[in-house]
Amino acid sequence: MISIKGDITVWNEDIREVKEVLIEGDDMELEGRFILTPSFVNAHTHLPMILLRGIVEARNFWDWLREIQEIESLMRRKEIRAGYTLGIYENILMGNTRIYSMYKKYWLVEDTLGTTLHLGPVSQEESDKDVISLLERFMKRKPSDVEPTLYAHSLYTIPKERFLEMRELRLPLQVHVSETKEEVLRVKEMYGDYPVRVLHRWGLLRDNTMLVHAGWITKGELDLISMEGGSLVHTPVSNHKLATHGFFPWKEALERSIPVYIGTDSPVTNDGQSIRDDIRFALLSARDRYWDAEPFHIDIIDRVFDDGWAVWEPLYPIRERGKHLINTFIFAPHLFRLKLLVKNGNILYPRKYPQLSHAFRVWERFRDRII
Amino acid sequence: MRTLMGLISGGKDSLYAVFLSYLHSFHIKFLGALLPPEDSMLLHIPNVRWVNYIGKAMNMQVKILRGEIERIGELAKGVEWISVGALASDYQRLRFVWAASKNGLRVYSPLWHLRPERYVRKMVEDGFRFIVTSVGAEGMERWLGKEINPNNVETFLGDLEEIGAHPAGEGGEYESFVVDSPLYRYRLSVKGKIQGKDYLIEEVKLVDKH
Repeated sequence: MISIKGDITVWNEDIREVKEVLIEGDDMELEGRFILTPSFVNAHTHLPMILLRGIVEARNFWDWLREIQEIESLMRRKEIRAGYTLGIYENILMGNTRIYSMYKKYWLVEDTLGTTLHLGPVSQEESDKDVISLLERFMKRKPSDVEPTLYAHSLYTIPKERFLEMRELRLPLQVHVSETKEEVLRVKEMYGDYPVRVLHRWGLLRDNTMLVHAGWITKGELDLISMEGGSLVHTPVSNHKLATHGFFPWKEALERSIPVYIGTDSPVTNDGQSIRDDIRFALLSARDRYWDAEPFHIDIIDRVFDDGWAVWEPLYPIRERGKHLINTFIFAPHLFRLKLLVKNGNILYPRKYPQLSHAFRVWERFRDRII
Repeated sequence: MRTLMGLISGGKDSLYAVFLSYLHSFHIKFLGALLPPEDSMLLHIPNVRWVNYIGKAMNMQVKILRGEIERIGELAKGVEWISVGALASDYQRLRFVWAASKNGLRVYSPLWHLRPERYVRKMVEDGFRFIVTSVGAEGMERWLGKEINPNNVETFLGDLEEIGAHPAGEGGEYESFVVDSPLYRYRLSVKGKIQGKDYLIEEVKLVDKH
């Protein structure tokens, strides 16, 4: 059993002060001043791309995409495996224990390091075929903590038939939607309607469909999601850096009770995989866009928590309590460091991961080769 | 729900701002146009009276009022926000913001400080087509009444660069009237005549796009 004693502020469904908490897990005792939160969900990333961090910066979206894909195509299998290890480890360091990772070579993952990974076939190009047999093959050999999830790059790169095939599998589906204005106009040209309406026409607006980015989305499309099902994944830092100029219809989604997840997007379009940093950024950006701080109070963040626990230690002598402390935790994430991360009774941090040193060496050699 | 009136003049900037507002989930309740007094420093004049056709092309109501921006509260009754196409002029933007806030309105200004040349190119790429309805810069007369589209946008921008004019016409180098956009259900077919440095629209027709 993990015993945590002292002045503890717990933030999950609500915020409360307690003197002691017991968490199921290996024997361990902590004492001091802590914040205890559920672990976080990173609802959208592309894990192995961590190896590409910093290589292509300060580009507009399409230039960035072209250049990064050129370099990415040079990644070898062992490098992608290392990318998975390092990408997952970075998530652990940020307190994330559930990760949705869209990546073409999903089967190269070897170990989830104790997290829950959502992986599965990624339809990216017109030539990608047969999601069903790919999924069957993956299910036979996937690590046990992997939850099968389907990924579709976008409506303008994959034919309708592929989407219909995915629909029949009834698994969770993530699809990039309305990430760029050009994409919206292209879909409108191809199918005569806006992207969300097209997905609805194909029977793909349902509760386990996650629409990623949604930065150029109309009111009518949000009405449709609210009536038919589906959730949005906001990737605030990445959006700002690349494709949507930072806009996300947070207020409109909440008014319609559409679930909103937060994702970091790839470790290279973002500069890290901290959900806490992304929440902060999303809140600040929403204030700017809506000229209104009030609707974005911390209570509305309801889809960021997973089923693990994270213990955070303040780096300064805090006096705040309750909601005031959680506000500081959200708006000044750098003032709190991860002390402990637990999922399913297993301590994920602090913990030694023997595979890390090999992964770091592979990364170094990759960088030497590429740069 | 963020309700919005798209404040339009018929020109490219105000209508591109409406387009971006639409893709930013605003509930656009109607469009509004101020018919400016002849000496207006803020709103461009020549073809504002044709904005009704833009409303028809977009299948959207257009409310029209004669007056300067200070009367925005009367025009925008029933909405919380107005969109404006201010790009670089502090004078224009601050007058919009000031007048709006005095009337309890918020201003959505999505074009603010976009790089002008890139912005014009992007707008054409996105399906906007506009005709040049007046020129304030020497050397641009040949563009009067011409439609700017993917085939000539580079030449148009090149001409503006050559004479050192603002690529988006922010300094009054040219004015425009939008004849097609992704939000138009009908394209506008325009006839008119050149009179001095203006292209005066005399007739507008709605043309089926498909």
